[in-house]
Amino acid sequence: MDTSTEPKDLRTYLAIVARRRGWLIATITAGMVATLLLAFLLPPRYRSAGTVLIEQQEMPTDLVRSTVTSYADERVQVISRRVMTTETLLDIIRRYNLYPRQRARETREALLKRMRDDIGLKMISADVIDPRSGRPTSATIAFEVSYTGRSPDLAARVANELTTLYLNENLTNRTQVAREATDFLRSEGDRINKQIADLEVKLEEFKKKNYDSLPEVTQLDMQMLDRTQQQLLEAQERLTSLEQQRVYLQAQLAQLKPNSTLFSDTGERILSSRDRLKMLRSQLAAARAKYAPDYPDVVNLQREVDGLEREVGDTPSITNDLRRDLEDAQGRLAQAQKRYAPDHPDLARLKREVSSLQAQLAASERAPPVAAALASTSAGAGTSTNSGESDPTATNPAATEPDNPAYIEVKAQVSATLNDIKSQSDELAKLQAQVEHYQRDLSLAPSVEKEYRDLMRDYDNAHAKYEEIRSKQVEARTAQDLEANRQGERFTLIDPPLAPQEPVSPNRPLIFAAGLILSLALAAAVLWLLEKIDTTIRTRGDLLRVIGIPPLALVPHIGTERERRAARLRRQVATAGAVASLCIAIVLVHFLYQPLDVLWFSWARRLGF
Amino acid sequence: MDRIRQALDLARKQRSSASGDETGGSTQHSSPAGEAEVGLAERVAVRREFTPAPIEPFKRLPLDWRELRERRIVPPDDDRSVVHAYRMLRTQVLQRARVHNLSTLGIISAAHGEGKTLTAINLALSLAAEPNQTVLLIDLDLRRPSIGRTLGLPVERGLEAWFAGTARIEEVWYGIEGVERLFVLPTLTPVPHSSEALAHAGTRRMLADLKERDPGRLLIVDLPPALLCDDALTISPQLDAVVLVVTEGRTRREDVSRVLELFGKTRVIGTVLNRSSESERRAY
Repeated sequence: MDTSTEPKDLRTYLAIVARRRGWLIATITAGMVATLLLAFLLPPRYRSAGTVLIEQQEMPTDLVRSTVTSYADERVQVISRRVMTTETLLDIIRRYNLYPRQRARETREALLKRMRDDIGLKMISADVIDPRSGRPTSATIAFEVSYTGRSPDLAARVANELTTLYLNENLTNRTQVAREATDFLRSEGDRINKQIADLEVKLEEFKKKNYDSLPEVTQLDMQMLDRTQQQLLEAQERLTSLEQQRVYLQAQLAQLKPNSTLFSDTGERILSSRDRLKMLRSQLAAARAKYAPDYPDVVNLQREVDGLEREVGDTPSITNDLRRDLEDAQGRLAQAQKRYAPDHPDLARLKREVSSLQAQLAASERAPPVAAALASTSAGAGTSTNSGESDPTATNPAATEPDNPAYIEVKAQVSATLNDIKSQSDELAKLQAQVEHYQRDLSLAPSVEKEYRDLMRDYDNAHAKYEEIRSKQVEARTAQDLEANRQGERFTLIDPPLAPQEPVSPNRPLIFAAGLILSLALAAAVLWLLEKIDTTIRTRGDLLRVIGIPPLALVPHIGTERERRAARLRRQVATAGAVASLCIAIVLVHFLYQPLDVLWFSWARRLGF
Repeated sequence: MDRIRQALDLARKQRSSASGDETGGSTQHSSPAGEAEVGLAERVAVRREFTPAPIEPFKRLPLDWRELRERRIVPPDDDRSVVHAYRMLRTQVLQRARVHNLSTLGIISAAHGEGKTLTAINLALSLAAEPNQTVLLIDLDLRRPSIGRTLGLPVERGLEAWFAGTARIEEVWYGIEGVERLFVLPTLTPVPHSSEALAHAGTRRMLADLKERDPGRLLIVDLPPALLCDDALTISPQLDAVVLVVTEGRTRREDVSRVLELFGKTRVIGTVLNRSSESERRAY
């Protein structure tokens, strides 16, 4: 039959409890004994903790800004990772002989896990208002490093060691970070410095190579070009005028006789022997043209000429005369050419005369080579005398020198002008060359300028960067000094780990409470199970359900006198035994474990009274 | 009433001691009691009309009540609350017996040790305390007979002798000192082949004969556990009804159901819950 239909009230449960009180007591007793054993046999564990304050940088950050910028708690975590390396922990385990029993049989990983579990790191935060954002936030102001070990002394020593590790690690970490920043900035500065030097050399070379086309020089170049062009124009004008002057002077010269004419008192012109020779020669030429060579006049004339030639002894004058004649003829020819048509008879005659004179001149120059040469050199270049045939009598060179002052002056002027022209054209050429040079420079200027600007910009950039790095480097150096002098944010041990006087675990009251609750639950479970297993009839209701009619009678247990006596005896014995064992236990505790008064106070404190 | 009973007992003792020895001249045991009480005398007179009262030679056996108390036997004059429980049982049994005209009542239980014999004895004692009601307690638990032992009867022969054919029924028929309307047919030692013995026609005849001798008399038959052997089932047709004894915390529900199936619901006129933790009579 199913018991679930049976209405269960409190009495039913009480009846069950009463019926099963043996089980109940046994279960609870077993549970409590186990709990007590657990609570008292668990080894005590002591926890020692050191508190480290995270002190903010005292110097205003506006003055010196640290190069270590991570948040404090973040850094604590990082340091924690660094401290809790396998090597460090194993070293601590070995040095302090931690977990001696476990070391023999556990793996290294298990030991490390044990160690990490025993090490505690707790951040201590304070609710503050962020000065920047104005919002309430939580800032880590300190942290606590703890170690839980089997003895107070050991816990304190290990906690001390760990705290020291944290402090040192922070210090080295901060200085290292600051130093790394400085080093980096320094190397960066050096690199940029070198870059600047390279750029400077390059710039120098460039300037040297393209000096004339540099933007700075362009203005000057243009001015110079202007001025030179001006000068060039002026020089050209001067040259033109000089040319005109020359033409004019030459024309004037052509009209002048190199030699001046002598006049006698009668006003007759006194001919010099040279002139007479010339005249005679021309007469001779005319006579020859007119007469046969053996014509007496011709012979006379010939003799006279020869005599005069001997007297004069100067052949060059003949050529001079010839030249003068030739020039004259040429001048006339030139004028005639301007004036007449090319087929004019005068023009033809003049041409013939010129050619005849040229032939004579050539002949006379060839006949006495030495004398002619001497004469020609002394006579001055470009001038020719109008002469017929060579005068054998004209031997004196001085006799052929031009003696007409006007002629000489004009001739000098001509020669000076020619000199001027020459120098002027030289200057012109020079000026033209200059102009070309300037123009070339100016044409190169744009490309040079671009390149130049590029170089300059690189240089300026590098320079600006260098300046920036330099200032940062100075800051970093200051920050490094700050860290080195421990003026930055620092960890201060405000509460060093002490040897705890009380174990942190096992939490005996808690274990008691849990054990009691568990025992009760276990007892309830046992009772429930027993009730489930048990199908015996328990109440009159059970019976009614089984057979449908109520029992005729409910007969209670019929106790006998013997039973009552036995029960009484049992109770007495049990009471006496309990009292006796309690007394024995108390005496044992007093003498073997701890005096009772001490125990009382320690337990009262432990339980929180 | 107690005083009257004591006086009667005293008188009866004197007479039985006088007539016990002279077996032949012994009168019917109930007649002097009937004479003492008017109602009883009438009834006895009625019975005599149906059945000639046989001269039943029997011994009245003394009981050590103190020792019986230790065996959880409840004397009728006990003042413990358990007396009231048995009185309640007695009254209900009587009512049912009268309504259904029952005269033989088997006491069974599902298993061993549930207090059948105790219930039978206590019920018989309680019934016998009722005026006008005679009770015959028969031990038919032939495998482990215990009535004789429990009552501490100082006798040498019981029903086993009758089954063996060595004694007549009158020879193992005993009265109880101080409880004059209670007679006992104890079995002292186990009877072999109990089931066959119970199924035997002689047994049936014996029971019928016992019923017939005094129709007003209730026969309380102690039977073996109903589920452990077939004895109870074998004899049950000769019985008018059975009472099932159930012990709290001991009898299984399924066993009770099984017994009901075996005997039929109608034959079980009721149950007795022994060792009940809930008492019907609180302080009264």
